[in-house]
Amino acid sequence: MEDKALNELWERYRSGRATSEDEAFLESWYLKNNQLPLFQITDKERVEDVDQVWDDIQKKQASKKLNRRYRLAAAAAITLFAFTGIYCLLYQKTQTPISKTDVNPGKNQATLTLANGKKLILGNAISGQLANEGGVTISKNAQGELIYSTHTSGNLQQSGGQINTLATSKGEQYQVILPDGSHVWLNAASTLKYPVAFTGNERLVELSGEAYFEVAHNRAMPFKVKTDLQEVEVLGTHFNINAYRDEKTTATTLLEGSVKVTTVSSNQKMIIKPGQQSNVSDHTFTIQPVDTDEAIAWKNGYFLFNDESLASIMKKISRWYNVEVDYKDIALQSLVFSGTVSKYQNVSQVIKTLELTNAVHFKVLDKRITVSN
Amino acid sequence: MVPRPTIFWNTEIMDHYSSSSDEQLMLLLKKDDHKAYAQIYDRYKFILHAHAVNKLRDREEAMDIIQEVFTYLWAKREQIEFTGSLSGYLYGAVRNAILNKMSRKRVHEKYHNSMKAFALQEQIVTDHRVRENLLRKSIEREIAMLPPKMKAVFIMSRNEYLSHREIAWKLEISEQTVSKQITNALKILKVKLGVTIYLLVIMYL
Repeated sequence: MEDKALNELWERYRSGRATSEDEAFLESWYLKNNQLPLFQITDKERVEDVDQVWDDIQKKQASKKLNRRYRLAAAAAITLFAFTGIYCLLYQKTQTPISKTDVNPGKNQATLTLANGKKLILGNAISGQLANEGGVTISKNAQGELIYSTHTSGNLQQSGGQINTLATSKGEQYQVILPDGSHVWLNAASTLKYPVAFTGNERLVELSGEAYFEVAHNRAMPFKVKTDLQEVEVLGTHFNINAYRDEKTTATTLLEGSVKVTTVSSNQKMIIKPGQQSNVSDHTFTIQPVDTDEAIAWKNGYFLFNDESLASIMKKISRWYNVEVDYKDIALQSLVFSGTVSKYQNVSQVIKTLELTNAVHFKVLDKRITVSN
Repeated sequence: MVPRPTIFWNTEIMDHYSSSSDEQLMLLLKKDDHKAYAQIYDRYKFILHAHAVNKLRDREEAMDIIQEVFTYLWAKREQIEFTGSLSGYLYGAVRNAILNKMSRKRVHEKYHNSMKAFALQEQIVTDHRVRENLLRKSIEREIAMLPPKMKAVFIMSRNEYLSHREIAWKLEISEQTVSKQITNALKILKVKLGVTIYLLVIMYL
């Protein structure tokens, strides 16, 4: 066979004009054409490649669906902002009783575990002194914040080793003022561990879930927040950490000052500046500029989404309303939305606003939301 | 007494998708079931990818092929007529996509020597059904080159009722090492693959 004949054969195949003889030849050759040695590829590369392909397919399918609905979604996003304002004004204090097809918003509630293992449920009802741990008074003020105050007479060395745990479950949030005056807002399904008094040369707390910190300045005693994947070290600043265990990355967003993020896995260090967010996962560490309002919207009482995937949006809704979420079609998870809604209204109001985009529909039954298209 | 291992399946794969036959998955796919589509991908990704890598000897190109075949499978799920088995369709689709890729200008010239030698010495198989069978055998033979955990994804998800002994035989490893292999595979699968197969092996006397 000549090169010319082969070129023509390939050309016929490429343009869909191959005869059955052409196909028989090409396909028979294909079966025999096994080159040696085997192409070297590691197991890790195989897994990476097939996962990458699946991600690409998903993205393509989602963006196709989105393009079709883009105009509607854009129009709806504007409506969504407008509606939000009206909802906030009209329904600020309304709390309709829970029904099978609706869910009330979460509330200011948490469980405090004292050093001796005693558990206290912190709600809105009680205020005043709750406990005394080694000379540190734990009380609750009228704003519903938990406050640690040190008495000069107390034995700080002794109380320093005593660890308290403040935990919220889904549908709860809480605020605490730590013994150094640092203020921490704890989001739903989160846990903060801290000593009742800071002693030694650092202020170390442990977090899982999400919290916003306003750290009191103390150059002599750096404030450290430990999570599964990273450690954040600050002198005194305002920042938000999102370290939910069901998220792949831990996001640290800085509003004021500067913080140093160190990864647990590789001990890599980076400094973040205000307006930046670091993202740490098992293998990656990146920093990018972000809309800080988005990161702390939860603390200010609303949901704010900028091109956020439905999967991520529903995770936040599920944590705050304590609901389970099912998808009729997992491709829906990659739909992207923008908008803002108050989080102090029933879930029906939030999903109604999302439904205005006409890209998704929801059914609520017994604290379970089913997403369909 | 001989150790009698038992295999438990994680609830994630106890769902009817992973235990569905290829035929059931084809029907569900026709009904726009995206989970069935995802299951087909999980079941065939390693074997098809391994085949494409061997033939093209290029990671990027192999990824293009898999993406092309599966994108088409979803986009044309209503029109595709599965005349035979799902695996037969996928093997044929991957081969055609690879031949197509080879046919692009300039690329195909590097195969000319091999094709000339083939034209001189080898028998051309004219019956396309015979070719399909040879293709199936050749692709499924390639699974032997995959590490056990990846064979497991393909073999076990297709035959989830297999006994431990049969798995040992299929994977060509001794029965005693099955649980160890699977435990190792599990670690990687759990971390890397998420919702694929996830087994727990308990040995007892």
